[in-house]
Amino acid sequence: MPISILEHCMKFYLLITMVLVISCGDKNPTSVIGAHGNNLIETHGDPIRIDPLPLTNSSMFIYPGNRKFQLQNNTVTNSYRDPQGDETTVLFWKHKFKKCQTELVRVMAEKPSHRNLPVELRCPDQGIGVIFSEGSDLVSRVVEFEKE
Amino acid sequence: MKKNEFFFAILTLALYGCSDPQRPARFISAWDSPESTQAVLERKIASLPTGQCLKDLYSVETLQAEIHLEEKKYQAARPIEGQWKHLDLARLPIPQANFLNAHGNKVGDLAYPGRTDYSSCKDVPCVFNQVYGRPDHVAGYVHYLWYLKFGHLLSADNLVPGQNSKVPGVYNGKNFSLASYLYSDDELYGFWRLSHMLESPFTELAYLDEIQRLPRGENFEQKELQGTCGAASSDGYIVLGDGCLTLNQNRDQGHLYQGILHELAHQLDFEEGKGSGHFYRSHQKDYLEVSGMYLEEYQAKSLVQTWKILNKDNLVSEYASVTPEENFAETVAYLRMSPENALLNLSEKHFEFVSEKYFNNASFSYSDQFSDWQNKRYADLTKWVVKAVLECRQTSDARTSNFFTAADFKTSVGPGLMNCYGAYAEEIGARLLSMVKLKEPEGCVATLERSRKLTWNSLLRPKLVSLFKKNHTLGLLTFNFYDALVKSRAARDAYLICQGEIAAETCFDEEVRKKALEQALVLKLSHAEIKDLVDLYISVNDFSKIQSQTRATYQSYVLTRSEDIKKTSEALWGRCKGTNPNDDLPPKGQHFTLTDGYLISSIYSCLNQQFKDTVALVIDGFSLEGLKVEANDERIIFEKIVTPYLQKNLKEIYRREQTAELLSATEFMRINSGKLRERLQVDFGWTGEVVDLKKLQSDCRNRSLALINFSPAYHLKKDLFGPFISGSVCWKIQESERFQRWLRSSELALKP
Repeated sequence: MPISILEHCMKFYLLITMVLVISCGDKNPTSVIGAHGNNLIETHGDPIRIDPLPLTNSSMFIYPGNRKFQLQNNTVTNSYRDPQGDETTVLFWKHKFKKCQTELVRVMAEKPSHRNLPVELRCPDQGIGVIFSEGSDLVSRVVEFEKE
Repeated sequence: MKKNEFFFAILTLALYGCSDPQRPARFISAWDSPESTQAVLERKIASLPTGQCLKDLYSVETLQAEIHLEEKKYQAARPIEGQWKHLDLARLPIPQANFLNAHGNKVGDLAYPGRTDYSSCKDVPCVFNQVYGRPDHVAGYVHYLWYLKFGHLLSADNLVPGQNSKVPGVYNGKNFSLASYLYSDDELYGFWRLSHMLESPFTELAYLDEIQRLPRGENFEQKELQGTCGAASSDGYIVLGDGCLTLNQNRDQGHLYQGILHELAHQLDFEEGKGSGHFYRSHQKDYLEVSGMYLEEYQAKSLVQTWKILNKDNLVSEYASVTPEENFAETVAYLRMSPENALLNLSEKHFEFVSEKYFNNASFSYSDQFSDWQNKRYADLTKWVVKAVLECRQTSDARTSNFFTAADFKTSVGPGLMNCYGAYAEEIGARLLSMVKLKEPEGCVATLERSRKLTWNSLLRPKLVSLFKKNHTLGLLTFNFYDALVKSRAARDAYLICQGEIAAETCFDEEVRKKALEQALVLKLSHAEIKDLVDLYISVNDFSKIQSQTRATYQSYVLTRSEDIKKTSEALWGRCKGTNPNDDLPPKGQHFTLTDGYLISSIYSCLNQQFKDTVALVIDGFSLEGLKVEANDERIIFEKIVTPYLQKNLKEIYRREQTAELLSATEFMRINSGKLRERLQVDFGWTGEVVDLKKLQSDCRNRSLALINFSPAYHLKKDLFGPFISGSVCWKIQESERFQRWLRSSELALKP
């Protein structure tokens, strides 16, 4: 293969790689908080199932990959997802929330365990909270809510 | 031709066609393999009068014998240099030197370390016994034996990990004598018995450092732990209260066994979760599926997360419904200690999942226990029969026995030989029974019942008949075949070759079969005979047994190099700390993580980036009788063992550095308290809001943080200086004379 064609191919692959990196990088998916239920279905498709919640006019739309959206009066109020890659560590979020006035809130449970109670580290400015057990280095869930 | 025979023939042909590739010499071949610890105890038990059990053996003499055999594992290692008080570590057995290096300063009265006189001690058991104030007592030996078998410390000190007071001996705001923290004789017996009951993976908990007792009569200080008898922490400790250490009058029964196993199961759950992205193994999809647990979560006033269970009848206890981790711990403990309950309540797939993964497929149930126990020891049974056949054929044993009849054998067997086989079969039966009494918690009670003894014999007899028959036909060949495989460590090699394979167990089975076949082919036997021999070898070398033995061997070597690993960890930390410290980029990596506190990303990411290379560096430094680690399969095993060491060392260094930074920051605050407030009041331009007090305090806090010329590496600046700023620098700043004056002047300036 002549060098010029090789260079051409290289440039092309480099371009494709850059496009992929930019589009798949550490970027939050567009927030749907505040969106109407219909918009949620438009962007995310039909949920696997919809569970009722013990709250007024509320339900949980459940999607593949353990992703959930909480709706009240047909408006998305919260989203829940598993952390990905480096997001799994608590330190990642402490760093991300470094300049935020964070809150550490106990997660409620019907039947409390005696150990490693789950807590939520919330950054109201960014509208993100992460759940982890006390004494754990790993985040179990990422929660999104309306920014304050 | 049957399908399996066809496969066998193909495999034989394949073996003829393939030669084993040249592999580098195994590092571990230079490492001594010890005689089984059980042998001493078996012989002792066999000689006990009928009706006596394991508990009758509980003595200093037995414990010493067990320790001696455990210590033999370390004979090939080089001595450890150093000193512990008056003891020259190089003159001690390697594990004793290691123990004193790692835990020597964590024993006894930690408030007054000089109070106990160890000057008369020449070994570790004596050190413990001095703490107990009882020379040559079982206590010292149980503590040390537990360390040898499990690799962590059975504590004998007065500092409960995570306690509120910094002063050892103070718990729940009260003072306690050292004796309150020490295990009672009965409790120590329970630990000793557990050390015989528990096998891999419970004996391989790499992140567990110690099992500590609460002071007698006390509950946990932590509110959330009120009412519980034990707690396991991912920080590497288990704490046990009285409730988890209770024994019945018959010391072989009591909640102690279930209580301790429950906490060890938590630790196992945590350790098996590592690297999976889940904090606990029990939160992985497969366990959630077999246990039927799922998470319900929603935002109400605060976030609610509740674990639900599909079928409430599939629980061993009510507590098992709380979370997957409690479900896991309860299920493991019940399956082992109350198997009938587990069988009755768990779904079949849940029972099988736990039994297969953590108990070698045993069910422990009343109906299956005899066959479980006999099958588990089939390897020993086979070895004894092979030896017996050989003995009978080589010597003229004059004993008589009616255990066998001519109908038991296909070919004719002379009366002398049959008598000899029978006598050995009876002996082997008794030996197996004594082994069961020794190892199984229910063994003694179960086998003493007359009716059950008949069941035992009726199950065992066909196994013995089959083994004697097979070995009589094959004769000396069996012995040679078996001996050659043992000497060549064929099963261990097969295990090593399969390191890194996803289906390691299947790979192992194939490799073992291949190796056995290679050996059998040398003997030039018929196909049927070869198949018999190969099956025999495979039946006595199951994957989990070989895995456990092999890992223990490598583990024992790494233990002798723990000081070197410490030095390498320090060097890694030093390198990362010294490279342009900053916190600009997000922290990357998950080899070394933090459970609390903070670490700037340049150090964190550097540690993670260099982690694997450092593990490799440690392994490159291993050498034994001129051999280095060259085989890739051995490297994989060593990586698994060295990784927790490095992680724990880095964590220790992190804590040390964090504490040092806290001290420096405290000093900084002491010196700068007045100066900072002074600088804040030079110009109040930082105030964005003067009416909203909350906003004013927030502005003050932000300005103060900006003014503080101290960049912490192990704390978030806002966490480190937050209380100091609110409680001192910005304290009632709005009431200060200068602020009021500034406010008045600003108001004047604003007036038209």
